[in-house]
Amino acid sequence: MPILSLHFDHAGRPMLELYVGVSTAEAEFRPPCPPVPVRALVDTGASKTNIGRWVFDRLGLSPVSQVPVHTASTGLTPLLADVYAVEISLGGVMTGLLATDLDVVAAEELSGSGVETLLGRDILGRGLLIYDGLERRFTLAIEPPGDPHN
Amino acid sequence: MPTHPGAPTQARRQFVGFDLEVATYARLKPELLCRFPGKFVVIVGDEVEGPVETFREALRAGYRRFGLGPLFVKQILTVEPVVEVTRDIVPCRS
Repeated sequence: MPILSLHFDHAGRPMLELYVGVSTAEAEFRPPCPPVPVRALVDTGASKTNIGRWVFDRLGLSPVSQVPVHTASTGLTPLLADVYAVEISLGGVMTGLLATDLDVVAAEELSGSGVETLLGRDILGRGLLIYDGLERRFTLAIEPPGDPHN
Repeated sequence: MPTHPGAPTQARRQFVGFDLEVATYARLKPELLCRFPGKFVVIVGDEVEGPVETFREALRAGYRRFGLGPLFVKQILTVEPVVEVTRDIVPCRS
């Protein structure tokens, strides 16, 4: 299990580098495509991982579903959002696969400068997160996904 | 144009929204809930593939049958979970 220990970024946020790629399922049916590097914010307030739409456009992906989403400004009525299937892996110094066929929510725009992905509880729920505010660092250990070929 | 082994030769289907798929699922949901609760189905237009056990199997089954392009994958549940995001983001809906 890869264990990451990183400092908060200059704005005091737990950020990490990820790679977003074509899902394992779709990869069986199309030529290889290089994954897209993204800057991700560890977000325990997101029940699912959210990714900016430009990433899916870069990968040439089509949506695979639609889900209702409540945000800080939707009020009582959730909005519908497109869902895409992707593979997510760690970038930077520590590498490792986090998910092979993950359904993620598409965001038109992610507020917060420099944030391209919100890493939600769908991934965080498979591991341990330690937030050390005093030392301004965080530690993240995520159980790798099962065999994608099963 | 070289293609990946196993890849369908037809062009990627275009995404024109999920209105038709939403209607198809709504029409079939009562029967699907009765017979296949918790399983996954894939819908393109008014055609349905499945049910299958997992999201990944649904993707594979969908691409195998319909080719590359948009799929409408749904887990057959009585109440659809709502995604919660505590930040003020703008969800993307094409």
